[in-house]
Amino acid sequence: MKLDIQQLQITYPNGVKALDGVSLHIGTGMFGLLGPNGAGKSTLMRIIATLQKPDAGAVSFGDINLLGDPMALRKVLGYLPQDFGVYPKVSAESLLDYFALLKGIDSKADRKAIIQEVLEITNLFDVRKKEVAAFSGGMKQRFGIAQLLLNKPKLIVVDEPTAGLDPVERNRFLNVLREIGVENTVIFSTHIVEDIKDLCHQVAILNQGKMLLQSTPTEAINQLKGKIWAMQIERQALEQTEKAYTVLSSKYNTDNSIRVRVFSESQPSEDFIGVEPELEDVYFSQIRN
Amino acid sequence: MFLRILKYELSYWLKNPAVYAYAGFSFLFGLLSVAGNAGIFGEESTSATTYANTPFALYRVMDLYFKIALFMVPALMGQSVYRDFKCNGHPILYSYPIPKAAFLNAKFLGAFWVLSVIVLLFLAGCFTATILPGVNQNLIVSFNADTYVQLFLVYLLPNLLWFSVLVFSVVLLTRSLYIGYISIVMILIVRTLFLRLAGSAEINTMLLILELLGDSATSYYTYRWSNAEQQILDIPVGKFILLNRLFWLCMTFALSFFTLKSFSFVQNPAIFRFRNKWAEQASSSNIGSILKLNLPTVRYNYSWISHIKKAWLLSRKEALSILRTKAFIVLVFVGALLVYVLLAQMNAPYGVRLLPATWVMLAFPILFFSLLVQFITFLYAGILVSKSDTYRMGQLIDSTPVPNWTLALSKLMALIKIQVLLLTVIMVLGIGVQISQGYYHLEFTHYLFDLFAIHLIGFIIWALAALAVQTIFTNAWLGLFILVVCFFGVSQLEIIGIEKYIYRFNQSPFDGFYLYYSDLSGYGHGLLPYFIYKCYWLLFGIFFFMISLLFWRRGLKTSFRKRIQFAGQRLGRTLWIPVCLCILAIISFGFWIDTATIHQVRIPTMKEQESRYRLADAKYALLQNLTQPRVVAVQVQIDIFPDDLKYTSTGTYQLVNKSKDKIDTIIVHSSLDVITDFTLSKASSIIFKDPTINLTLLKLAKPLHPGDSLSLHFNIESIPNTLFYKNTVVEKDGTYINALVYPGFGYRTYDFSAGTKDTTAFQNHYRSFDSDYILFEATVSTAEDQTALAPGDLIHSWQADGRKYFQYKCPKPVTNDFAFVSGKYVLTKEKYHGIDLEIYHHKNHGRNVGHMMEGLKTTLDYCEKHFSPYPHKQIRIIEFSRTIGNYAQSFAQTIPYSEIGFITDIDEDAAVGWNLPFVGASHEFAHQWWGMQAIPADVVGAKMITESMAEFVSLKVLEEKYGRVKALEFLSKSHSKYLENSLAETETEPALAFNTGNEKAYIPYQKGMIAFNTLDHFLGEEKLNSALKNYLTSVKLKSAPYSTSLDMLSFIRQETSDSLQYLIDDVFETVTFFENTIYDAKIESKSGAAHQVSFLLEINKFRLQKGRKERLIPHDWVEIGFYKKRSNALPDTVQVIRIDQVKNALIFDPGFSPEKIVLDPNLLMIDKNRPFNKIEW
Repeated sequence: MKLDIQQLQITYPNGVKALDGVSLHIGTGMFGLLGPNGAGKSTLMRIIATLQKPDAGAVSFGDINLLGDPMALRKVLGYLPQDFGVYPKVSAESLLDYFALLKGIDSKADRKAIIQEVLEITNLFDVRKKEVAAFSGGMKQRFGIAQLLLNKPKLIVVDEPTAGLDPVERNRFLNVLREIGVENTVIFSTHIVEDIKDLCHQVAILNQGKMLLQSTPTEAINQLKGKIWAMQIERQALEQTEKAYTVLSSKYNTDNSIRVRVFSESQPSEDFIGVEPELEDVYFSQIRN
Repeated sequence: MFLRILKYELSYWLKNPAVYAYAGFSFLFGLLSVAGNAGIFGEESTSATTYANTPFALYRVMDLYFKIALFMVPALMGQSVYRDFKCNGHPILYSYPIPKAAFLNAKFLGAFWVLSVIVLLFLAGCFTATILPGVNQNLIVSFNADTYVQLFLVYLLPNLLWFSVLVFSVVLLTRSLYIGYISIVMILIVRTLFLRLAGSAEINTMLLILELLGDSATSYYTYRWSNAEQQILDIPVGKFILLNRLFWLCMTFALSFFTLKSFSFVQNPAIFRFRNKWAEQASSSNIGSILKLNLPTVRYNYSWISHIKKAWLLSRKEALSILRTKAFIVLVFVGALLVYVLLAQMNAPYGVRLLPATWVMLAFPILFFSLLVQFITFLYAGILVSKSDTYRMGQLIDSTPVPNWTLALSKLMALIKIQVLLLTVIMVLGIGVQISQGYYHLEFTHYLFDLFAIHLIGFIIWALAALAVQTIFTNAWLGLFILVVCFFGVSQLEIIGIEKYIYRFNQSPFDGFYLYYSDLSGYGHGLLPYFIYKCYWLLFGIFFFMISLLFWRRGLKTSFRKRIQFAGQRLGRTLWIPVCLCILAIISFGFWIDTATIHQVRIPTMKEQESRYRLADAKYALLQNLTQPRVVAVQVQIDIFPDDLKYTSTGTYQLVNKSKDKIDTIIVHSSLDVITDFTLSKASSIIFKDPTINLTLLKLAKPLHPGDSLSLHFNIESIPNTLFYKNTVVEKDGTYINALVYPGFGYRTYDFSAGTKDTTAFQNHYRSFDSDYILFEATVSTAEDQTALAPGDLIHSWQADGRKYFQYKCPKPVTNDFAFVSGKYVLTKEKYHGIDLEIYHHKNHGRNVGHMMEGLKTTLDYCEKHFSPYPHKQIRIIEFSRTIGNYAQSFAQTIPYSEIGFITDIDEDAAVGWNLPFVGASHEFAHQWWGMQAIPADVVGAKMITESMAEFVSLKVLEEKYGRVKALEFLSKSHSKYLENSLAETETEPALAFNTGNEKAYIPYQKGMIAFNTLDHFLGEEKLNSALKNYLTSVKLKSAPYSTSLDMLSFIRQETSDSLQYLIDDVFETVTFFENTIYDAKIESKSGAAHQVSFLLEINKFRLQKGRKERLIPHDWVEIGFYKKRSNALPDTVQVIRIDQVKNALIFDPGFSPEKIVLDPNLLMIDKNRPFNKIEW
């Protein structure tokens, strides 16, 4: 099934245009939504998750008209918000039972079976009797995945799930998402480029409410082939370099020198050497524009 | 830093709309209360003037206001700290270099300023009311700024400060706002508990100082203010008030200090850290490598039946989340404790303990506990509705395929489950108390029906309303406040002129019927209309539920305007049909109730009857001078149908013209409670009829000559009951019908009252004004399983057509006053001195029959010994349903006695508690002498001869049977009751000899007993009783003119020495009282057994003269009692002295070193200072 987003428009009461004519077409697989903080990612995610109504535009998933019949979408939706809390003094098992009810499983045996399974998948079975509110960040995110799976969702929306996870947690977390993404549509927002790199079939870049790019990671990288140049500079030369070139990123080396990557159709100067473009370059080049 | 935070806080509050809601409420509360008291809603003016803005009146309004205003304290004070925790800003905030004291002080003061201004607005409202156009300026006294300043500085500000500090501290230290709310409720409950427990003891200074609000200390100074004094006196800022305020101010500072000390800028709460199994951090290793997603097959069900099932299952989790909180458990525990104390003490309503019957266990706790249930409903409705938001779980929940109504329903069900639990607590407590008191007649079905059929429905309706309010208002604390105000507001709607119950939310005219539950007749007729009204309000509840759905919050938070827009969309899309249907149902149901209640036949209420009679008096007053023939014989046949709740009656009056004039006009009046139809035996024509008071004037074709007779035949039928109205007095069991339903002759104004010099009034006795003595005969029929009784000897009884018939006849002439009683009785019978003593009672009500029997026997002995023989062969006490009333009445050889007397709990061994069945039986039996042998004229003071004597006799026989201590206790009760009523008197209190009977019953009853007892003490029993006997002999069964209280007193005066004549002036003929003090007492031990006890005595004697209190020089005999032990109930030595001046320094040697001395230990003087007139060592 395809998620079809057309010309979404939303303006907050303070005048901020959170989404400004955003259109997207997303098929099965992992879809990465990149964008800096405040780009409108969460707003877009919330609209897809039926929690917010746009001022204009249309969203459909398969033959479900999301804005007209949100309940139909919720049946196939798995949503993991950027930041969520849980009721205090409730165990993981009991809270999953609560969500299983909300998601429509009214048979006790069924709830038990699926809860057991999602606990196993997220490796939370051993702590099923423990209070979720006392979980560590990674465990809480896994709990989020566990509840998300309860209705066997076709459309999965996860909003910056890896923020605050340690590398191991992050890696494994992404594995689960990937597995889910084999047969379903997973929309995955992040401002961390690496999350997308190995994982997503498709990627889109959103900034200031506008969709800058929708493509596959490989294609996007290919487009920059031969246009990314790198150079080592001293710290003092940074300002000057930034004025002179389109600097995409600059990173410190251990000796306090800085390695800058710039975008240019041709070699900007002899000091620059051509490098292989990376997804990060795509991201920064899009945002720079 | 301090100033900056303060400024920030103030500007925060000034931008908060809730603050303006609280301020508006406060102003309106003051405005409407005072304006209402000043008659702005056009209430009928009462006979006496009660000013609306005297210090005392304002104090009372303030007292009520403050209790509601307490719910604003957490909203401001609690919120001021809670804000930081709620938005999780505290970890950042606390890492700033802010001095702790400056931070807390600024936060506190910011909110406290605002709160103080809100409270000041209440006073401003009170003041504005006095200058409002439309208020009755006669009920307003001129403005006095001191009053307002005093109320603010002495009460409002310190109380507010204490509660503010308390809530501030609690919220700061627990980081939970709602514990702040609960702590307030808890404190109020504990205060009530405290007052309850202390209330049974005597006034103690500890209580005055420790009581939280300063109410007790204030009432120490004001409780003996008469109504007149309340109008003019300022509330003194007395020693105890100051001490109390000082104490709580110290407590406030101590708590502030403690809070300041224990608070630190850390992330987690500092105190109240209980051991918590959840607190351990759970950990688990991460997911293994690549996994395979293989979820089991489960069924997803989105049908509406499944949604209901889910709501039910979800509600369990919601309810558990409440039950698990410690605050809830503690709150319920404290509430239950209070209910237990109330139940176990159970002495409030009638001054006596009742047996722990099931209805008793239910009736009294529900009044208090329902407040707790309401509060919990309102509070947790808010908490449940905003829960997902509070814990930031809303996005997860809102994106699941669960309809809003399922979520709303689950919250509703959770609230109902909590309510059921709380009601079960009452049941458990009730049964617990019953078992602990050895009462094993457990009625589970009665518990279940009363709690879960009658009460639960009302709570559910409030739960629905609470859900709607809490859904609309995103601020749960504002929602709570609004609900509390609405809850108290709807009970006041009548005051602002909204009288119809269809406009008074969740109220019904039969709300209190369960309080009148009778073991004989059950809940009675009120049950059905109660449920009709509740169904009507349940429709409103459903409407509220739809409102909740319209405003249900789902998804991202939006502005209120957006939410209204959403609500409109939801209404337009799906909900408009049910909403319209619901509104239609409400309107048509309400219309039906309204029409039915207007058009269904009902007998006029007492108030309506009164106004009709008063109106008629203006037209017909002259008729009372028309001479009428007198009734000489009554013969009645009455058929009572307990199953159909109706009766019919026929009968004949024989009348004789006893006057010297011809009579050609007959005035017949009949009761408004029945349908009466009558015919005269002689030809007559109707001159006119007034159906408003059922008055008929007839002209006889031929006048009735002196000595001629006439008869009147009548048919009476009870007015049928309708769905909403019970029009007959018949009950399923324990029916009591009195003679007032029968027709009478002549015209008498509504509040007819003749003075002791009105000789024409001497022609009638106090019991009926159309007859002297009559021959009485009655045949009563009733259902087969019941027994029917009437005055007279039982001549014959038989069964026919499945009914029982009883024929009664009085062997001697009796007064024209009779009654019929019918019920399923068990008869307990004894023969005593040749007289049959019979008690007819309900099968489970045998507990007190022995006491009643004793009361009859000792009274018979006493009255026959001292006054005259009992003229009949038997005396009967017959139980009637308490639905009809809580009283007893005496007729010739027949005493209908309310159920309440049969279920009082008598503990003869207990030091306190008196024997109501014994005393009641004695009192009523004594009327067979005082009231039926001595029959006073129909003038003021009549009840001194009947009620005062009956009370006095019961006191004397109580003393004979149970001893002096019990008698003193009974006397002391009479003292308190007399003083209480005398203080509340809004008119000029008449003297005992001129008492006006029914409306001021405390004079003939309580004061009468005190008066005769005092006389008895000083004259001696023999002398007094011989005077009384002489009087009785002189008037016994004499026909007109009848005697008056002054005649009786002249017999007493003959036996009274000159030095004691003053007593008769003081206690009988005037209103004379004392405000005595005993103080500066010292004991000096002399050699050996000699002790000198010296003290000062202040005897302030006053007399009410023309409504004013005037000082008299005392010339009185005064007793001082000396007690060896403090715990002794009776004095070991009594010294009697004659006092002739106000201040007296006295020295006595009681022969021992007393631990206690008491002024007037035998309760002979009417002393308003009595509670303070003892000294203990």
